[in-house]
Amino acid sequence: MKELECRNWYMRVVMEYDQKILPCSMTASLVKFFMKSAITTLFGEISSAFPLDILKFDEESKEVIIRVPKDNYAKVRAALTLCSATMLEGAIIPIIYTVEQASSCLISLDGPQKQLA
Amino acid sequence: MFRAKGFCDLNIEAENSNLKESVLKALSLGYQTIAINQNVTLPSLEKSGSKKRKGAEEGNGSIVPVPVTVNLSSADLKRYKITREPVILTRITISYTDPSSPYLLKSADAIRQYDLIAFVPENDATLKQVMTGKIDVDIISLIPNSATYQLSRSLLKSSMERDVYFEIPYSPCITDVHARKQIIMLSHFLHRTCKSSNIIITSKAKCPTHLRYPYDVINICQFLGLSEIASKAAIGTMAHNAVYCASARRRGVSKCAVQITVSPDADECKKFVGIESAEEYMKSYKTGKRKLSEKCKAKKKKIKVDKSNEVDDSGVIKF
Amino acid sequence: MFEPNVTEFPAPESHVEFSYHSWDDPKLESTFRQLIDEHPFNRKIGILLPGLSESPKEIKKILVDDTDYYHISELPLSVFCTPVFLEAFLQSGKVYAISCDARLDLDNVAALTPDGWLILLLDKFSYQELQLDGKLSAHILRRPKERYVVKVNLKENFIPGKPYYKKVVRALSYVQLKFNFWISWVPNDAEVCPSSIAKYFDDEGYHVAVRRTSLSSSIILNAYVPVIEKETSDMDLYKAEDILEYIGCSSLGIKLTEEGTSVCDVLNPKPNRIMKSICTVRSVGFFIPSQSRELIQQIRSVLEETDEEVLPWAAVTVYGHIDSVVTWNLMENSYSVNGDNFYTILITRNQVWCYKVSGPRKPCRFFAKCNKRI
Repeated sequence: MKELECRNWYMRVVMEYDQKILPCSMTASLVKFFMKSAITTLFGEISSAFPLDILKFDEESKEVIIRVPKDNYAKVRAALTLCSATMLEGAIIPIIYTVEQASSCLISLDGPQKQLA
Repeated sequence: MFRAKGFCDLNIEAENSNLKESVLKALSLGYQTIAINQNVTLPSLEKSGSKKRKGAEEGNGSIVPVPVTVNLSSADLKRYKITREPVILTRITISYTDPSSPYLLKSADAIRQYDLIAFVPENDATLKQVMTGKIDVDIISLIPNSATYQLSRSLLKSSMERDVYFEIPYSPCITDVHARKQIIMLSHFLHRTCKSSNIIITSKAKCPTHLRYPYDVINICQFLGLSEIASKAAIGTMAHNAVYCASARRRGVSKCAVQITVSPDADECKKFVGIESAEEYMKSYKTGKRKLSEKCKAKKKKIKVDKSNEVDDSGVIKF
Repeated sequence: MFEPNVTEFPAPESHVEFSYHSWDDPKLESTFRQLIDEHPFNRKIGILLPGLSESPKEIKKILVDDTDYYHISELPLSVFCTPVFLEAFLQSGKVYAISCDARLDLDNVAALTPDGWLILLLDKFSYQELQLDGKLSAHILRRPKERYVVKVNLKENFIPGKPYYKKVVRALSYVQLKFNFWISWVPNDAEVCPSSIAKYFDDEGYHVAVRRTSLSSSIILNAYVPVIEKETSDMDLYKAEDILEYIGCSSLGIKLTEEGTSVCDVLNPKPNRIMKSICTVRSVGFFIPSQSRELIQQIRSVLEETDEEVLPWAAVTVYGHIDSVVTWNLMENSYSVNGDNFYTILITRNQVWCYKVSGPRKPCRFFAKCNKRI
């Protein structure tokens, strides 16, 4: 069997935020903006220039599935963990990101989840 | 003797906006062992004049507060979908600058009530006193300021060999930009001095929003100078070892004595009188010449009975 | 002077292997044997059927009928060594047992494979108490010596009365390691009912619960589906990766676009065509390899019966148990930050594409390597 080189990593991220503080409703492009600003705060503009794709955004369950290049994965995950709040139109919005699953194959996110608690 | 299980978070501040909520959130995130921390700063002797000395004699252990515990009912655990049994410990963090201060010895009894004892060394003298003193310290918590970077490296390394663990908190990285840089500098300092061994990662959470998922914390540790396995050990096996060493220190030194008895109704040829005869017996047994029968023992027995050695009635050999 | 690493932060190790065969390729059987038969503990199956709006009855039947398994609580390991169990179940069939509530990287885990190997992954204290020989886990490079693997062969040289048997039984009874197991038994004799193992444990006094396989499905409407053409000998491996990504997107309900949006640059693999619906069937249970083989044969026959326009191809993903001690061929499973343990098979009328995804294999260093630049 030949070895495939996985170029991307996929993460399932769950966000916690208060909808009432937001001036508008949360959309996929807003999520992308928040994530990029978190990466810029911690690692600078060069790391945030890497592609970050939002594959799925579910507003009810506040789950996002994102795709990042393999080399940037650790930095993106650390930036999302250490982010506590973002600025939007002068208001500070506290957001907490939890990366529940991460894998090099997207199908793995559909598989059985790890039960820690 | 308690033992830590699962992922450990050994520093949740007792001065918390909502202590019970923080503990339950940590348990639901996946941490199974939690230690509730109280900070104590012991006053130094220089500041206290004659008046304060009287007051100090009156209230000896009152500087050290009573351990704080959290009662978790099964309804709380169900609400947060926690299935595994939590292990909740108590911890105290002591900081003091003057090694000649008497408060440490006076409040030793009160300090021993806690499961884990942590210590903040302000200078070399206090570190040395703690390493050789009567208080058993389990965790060293370093403050990232210039005094810490001047601590003697040999003392830090010797404390490492005594199974004392260094703590790096990650919640300052979340709250404050300035604190984030300091924590990273501290972790690099530890990497340079002691190869990042004996390091545990804790949250130092003052409210429930400072807690993070364990695998996220493992990922952050890579940026603090730890390798992949070391970062997983920092909230896993290293923390287990810290708790185990702490409970072993509480118990004291374990001793055991060995008593050898030879049963009185054993075969005659198996009784030895002295070490030399035992060695001779073993040699002959190994070469296969010896068969354990009564006929052979008379002919092939090379063991000389040495009457100078005493043999007890029960067959116990006295050396 | 050790300087810490501040520049390179690589992603965790992950292996994806790929191979493709036509249906009459002689190597197909060995690939199937390596991929399917040597992967004993499977937790979830996902089937992707582009073009259909609901799954065919034959496929549902295979997933749900005869796939019951049993959950036994607080079972001590010494039960597997009793002469009754050895003769009645182990020698006359295949026993699949795995500990279900224990976490792989934190707790003690156990498994009993169909070949008769009892494999335990223990922490330092349990291993020292157990008194059986074991090795350091393959994923630890010298330090920290925290996880040990103990393997006992229950089928060969394990005769009651012999000294090795007595040693193992004494060790397992002394420590009393108890786990919650999922158990399934396939008897050699077709007339014996597989549920007799549940009755045996129930008679011994353990709490046994029957678990049924669950079934659920979801649909995506009006999506693009890639056309899988018959591949020649040198295939572009990037295409294989894109198809795997597409299968993942469809299983999760993500619709890819042709040109890309402002938030997402992932495109549909080309060539493609639009179809009315894509159906995904998910089934959670405890599956054994023979059931996966049967499922693949059934899907192939469904493909041959339906028209190519209606159902162009199908994909089956079989996930292993995430806390399983072993993966393929009794290799030790690991879970450091992620643990993938599944395989995907893409079935067309002419070809079979196989993907095998496994987690990290190399043991990592505890101390970072010395950076001697300064």
